[in-house]
Amino acid sequence: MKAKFLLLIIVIIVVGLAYYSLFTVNEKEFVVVTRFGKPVRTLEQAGLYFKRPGLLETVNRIERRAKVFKTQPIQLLLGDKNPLIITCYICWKISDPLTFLQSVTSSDIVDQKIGDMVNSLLGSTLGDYTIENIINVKPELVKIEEIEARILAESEQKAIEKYGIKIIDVGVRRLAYPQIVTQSVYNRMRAERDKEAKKYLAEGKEEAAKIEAQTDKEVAQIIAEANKESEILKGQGDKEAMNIYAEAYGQDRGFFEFTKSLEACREVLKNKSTLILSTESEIFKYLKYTEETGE
Amino acid sequence: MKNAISSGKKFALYVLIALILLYLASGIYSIGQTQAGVQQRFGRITNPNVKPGIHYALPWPIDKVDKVSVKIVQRILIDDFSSNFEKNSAPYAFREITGLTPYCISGDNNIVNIICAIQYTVSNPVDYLFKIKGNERLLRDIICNCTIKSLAGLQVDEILTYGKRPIENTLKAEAQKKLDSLNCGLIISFVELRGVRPPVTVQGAFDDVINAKIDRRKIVSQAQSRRNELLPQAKATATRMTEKAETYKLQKILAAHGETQRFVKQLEAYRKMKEVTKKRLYFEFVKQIFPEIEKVYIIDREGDRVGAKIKIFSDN
Repeated sequence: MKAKFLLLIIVIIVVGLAYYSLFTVNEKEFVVVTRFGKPVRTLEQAGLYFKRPGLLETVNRIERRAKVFKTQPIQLLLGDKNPLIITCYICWKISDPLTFLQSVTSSDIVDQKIGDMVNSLLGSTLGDYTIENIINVKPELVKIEEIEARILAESEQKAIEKYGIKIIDVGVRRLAYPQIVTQSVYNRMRAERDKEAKKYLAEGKEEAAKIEAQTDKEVAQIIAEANKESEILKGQGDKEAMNIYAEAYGQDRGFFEFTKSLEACREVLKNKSTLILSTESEIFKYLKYTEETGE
Repeated sequence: MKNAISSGKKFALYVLIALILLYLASGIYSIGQTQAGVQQRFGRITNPNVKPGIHYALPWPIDKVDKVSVKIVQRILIDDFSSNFEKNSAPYAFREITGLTPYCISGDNNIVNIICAIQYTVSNPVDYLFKIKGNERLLRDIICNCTIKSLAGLQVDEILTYGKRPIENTLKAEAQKKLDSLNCGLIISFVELRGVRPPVTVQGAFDDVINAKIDRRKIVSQAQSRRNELLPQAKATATRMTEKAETYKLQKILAAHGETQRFVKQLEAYRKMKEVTKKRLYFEFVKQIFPEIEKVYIIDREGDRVGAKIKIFSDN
């Protein structure tokens, strides 16, 4: 009974010891074991580890995964004095857990410190570039990537030394102009669009005018052509008719004149006209004769 | 009494065995059809990709299994460059700080609002879980970065119209390259640009351009339809004119034929008895014409009396 009790106590002690001195390190973290605040070892491999139990040694778990944050927007001047508001994202991870543990206390503070560092680097780097290197219709002249690479290279060095961290990526997250510049960009955009709209309208009018002129020309041509043709036709008619007349009337000129004059008189004397005739005229020849002879 | 104790002990033993069994059974786990599992022993990865099904791992605290949805397509809407001012959205936060409406800048220095819809899946559960903290945030940042870079080299007209597909393709490729280099464990399956438009304040001017294009087409088509109307009209007029001339010609010729025919017939008769026919024709003419004449004055030339008049065939 006593032996059993002893065994139980031993088991409890072993389990207790195990509980207070065994710990795991997983893939998401580094562990720095400290003895009363003094670091004794750094564990970078995941697995099961021993330490001195309880408060004798402390396990400090440090994030191993990379994390990302955004810098505060900052207004900077480019080399050509163009102002630009810029925000970056920065992706960093802890590369030297011990240095990290000793230099700073929380990753939020790191964010702020790295953010300030990157912003000041931006300020000095952007001075070497103009607005044409930021935006350009020729994609090969856009140097944003180069700027990012320069900042990454420069910040990498400083960050490792100071905080035991490694910056793995820096990228522009947002570009903007200050309010007043934005307003003038809006105005310019409006002006450009107006110009374009007017250009389209003018083009339309020009083309329409061309079509109209062409139409008018063709219409006039068609009418003139028809005029010519009809005059020719009429002339042909006249000519042929004259030929016919000439041929027929030429047969006896005297008789032609006689019949034609009768016809002409018939036309002239219509409609209640007044006629003055000499008694010598053919019709009264016999009438006069009667008068003279008393018949 | 001893029996009771032993039966009590037995019961305790059963309970103990049951508890141990339960403890061991707690290691049974299942991975769903759309999931992948990452099994770890004391924090160390032992199986980076457990396939769907029922599996066994040693119970806590020895083994641990993290499950990740790998086949489910996730969607995020990147509205960082839009004027969507809902609370907690990225544009809202940006305006709080700078007082500006967020936007993107095009290569020809125009301002554009843009919304990006991204679909992605987890391609590598280990990277997804252990390499990056806040994968979705990183994805957002990278998409924004790639958007800025690709728009910075393009003209606004291209961005607003035919350039959308190419932009989507470059975005997808560039962002994926970056995600891979950072071991994000995500794969972008789809990028769609939505709401690509000029800012509200200049939208009107852009609409005017579109309207001007429509007007241009309208003006030209009006001229065209005028042409289509006038040309046939002119042709019809021309046809009418020539037809008229044709008719004139025909009439003239026919009239000449008729008249001369009559003349020839008269001539034939006249030739038989010249004087008589001539006289007859004359009197016939007089007979016919005199009734229509109102007054006839006859002047005798032999007498000197002028004005001697004989009124004949007067109605009154």
